[in-house]
Amino acid sequence: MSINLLTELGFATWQTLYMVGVASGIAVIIGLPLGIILFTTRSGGILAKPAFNKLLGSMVNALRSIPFIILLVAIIPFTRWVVGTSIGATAAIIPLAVGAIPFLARIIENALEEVSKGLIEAGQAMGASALQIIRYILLPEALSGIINGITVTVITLVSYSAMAGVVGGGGLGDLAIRYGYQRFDAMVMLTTIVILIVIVQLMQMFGDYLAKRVNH
Amino acid sequence: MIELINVSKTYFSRKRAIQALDQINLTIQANEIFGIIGQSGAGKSTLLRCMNLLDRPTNGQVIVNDQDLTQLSPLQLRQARHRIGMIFQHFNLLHSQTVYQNVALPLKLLGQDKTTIARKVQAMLEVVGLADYQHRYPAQLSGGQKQRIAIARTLAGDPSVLLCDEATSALDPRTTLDILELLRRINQQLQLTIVLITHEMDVMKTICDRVAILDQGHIIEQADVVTLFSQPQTELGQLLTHACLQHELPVSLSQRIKPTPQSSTAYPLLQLYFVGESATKPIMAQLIQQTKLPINIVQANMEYIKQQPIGVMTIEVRAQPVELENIIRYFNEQGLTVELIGYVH
Ligand SMILES: Nc1ncnc2c1ncn2[C@@H]1O[C@H](COP(=O)(O)OP(=O)(O)OP(=O)(O)O)[C@@H](O)[C@H]1O
Ligand SMILES: [Mg+2]
Repeated sequence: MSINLLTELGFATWQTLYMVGVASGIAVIIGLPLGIILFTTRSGGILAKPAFNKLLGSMVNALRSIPFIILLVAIIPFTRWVVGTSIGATAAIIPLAVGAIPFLARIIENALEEVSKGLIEAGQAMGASALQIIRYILLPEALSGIINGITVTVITLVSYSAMAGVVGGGGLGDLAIRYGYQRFDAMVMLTTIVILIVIVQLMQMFGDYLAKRVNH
Repeated sequence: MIELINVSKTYFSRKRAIQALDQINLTIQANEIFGIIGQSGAGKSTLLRCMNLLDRPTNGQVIVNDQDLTQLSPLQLRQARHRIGMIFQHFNLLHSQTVYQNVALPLKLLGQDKTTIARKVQAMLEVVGLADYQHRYPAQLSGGQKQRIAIARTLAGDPSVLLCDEATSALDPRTTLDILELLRRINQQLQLTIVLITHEMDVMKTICDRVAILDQGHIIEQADVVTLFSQPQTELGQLLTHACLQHELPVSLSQRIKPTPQSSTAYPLLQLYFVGESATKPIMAQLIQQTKLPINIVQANMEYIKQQPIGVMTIEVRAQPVELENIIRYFNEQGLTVELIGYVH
């Protein structure tokens, strides 16, 4: 492998990590509160707003049902409005985040559902406000489930990011296609696959480690 | 003091209405331990949960510490709840948090500072006898210890009322006694009003000052615990108290009991309930002396409820029907309740 190719591999790895990292950050910042809202506004929830919950739920479902490759192209105008361009790694972050937000929100909602009703009731009996119940009961008790959910989301984003080549986002997936598919260079293809496997493996291990640490 | 006035609660589920509580009127005095007993589905949990409005009554008023909870704003209700502690059958501790953090929770909710919290948590853990367990997680505790922590947690909020929903039902008999003893102690030391619901009469007997029997959403009987045990007024009251006092007759005997005599060798079997003074008088000795009848004690049990002796005795009397009437009259004159169980063949 030439030096040139090695730098290209290194750059692609960095691009993948950059896209996935920033998109994950945005997904957590928006998806976590969204998941909390989805859970708490259910009928019988601590902030019950059943009609609003139904509306929000169907919006999340609608967004989730769009295949990522289509989402990527469909929201180009929005992407351009946010980052000023629709081409490049930074531009790819927007569709990645938009795709991950509803996914993560549903996972967070499920994690919160695992918290026993009795605990929420104990909080209410103590005179806790809805925000206090979220902060002191729901989030700590669901933390290991939330960490697992974020891990799954980040790993899903790694695989979504392979499609970022479509909008010139670069990254490992794009590299693999350009060399492996278009130039029949199996070696490069294989190397990118190995790098992707290692990245995913490390992410999973780190996620498991964190989840285990908070699980008593 | 807790006062329920005309409290009703109807649940609506899939068009069907379930009347869980029907026009409940109940006054619980400050500093007493009040028990609510009843069979499964009677509405006990619902009634208790109406006392801190975890369940909002469909009708009626709930007055705790001179405040009608049903009239409060959400914020005022939360403030009122800080003074109403609650413990649960399944403890409801935060598994992700240490014992210390669990007990600190109500204090954090009140926004108290770290030093105050540390001092109070330490004090409350000492009250429940688990001061060395601060850094453990709930998963590392036994059921009894978990309930102690849950008690410490409610006490940390400095409540004036403690509501207990089947607080000992998940515990073994020995641990149940320990927890009841702890409740009794905090009732006295901290001047706490305790309301506890249970389906175990033994719990009532051990700890309660007064008891109400709940049946299908109605309070059918209400009395201090000694009166309830000595003179239950309702059928359910009798069922509950008698079952608690007496033990099962051995099968070899119960198989031979028929409701009516079917031969001349059949002898009546009587059950006698003694209360208070009558339990300390030599009633049997006098009877045997006077009638010279052979009386055989089949089973006897004597207990002390609030220092009052209460007993039940099953006797076999070798007597003819005419004599039997006299004997029953004699027992009644002595203040005993007599029940003819049947005839032994
Ligand atoms: N959330 C609810 N929705 C509908 N019905 C309910 C609800 N909670 C209780 N009920 C009904 O109300 C009645 C009283 O229930 P409650 O839980 O108060 O009984 P309980 O005396 O505590 O019984 P147990 O000893 O089994 O705990 C029951 O018929 C029950 O099915
Ligand atoms: Mg119940």
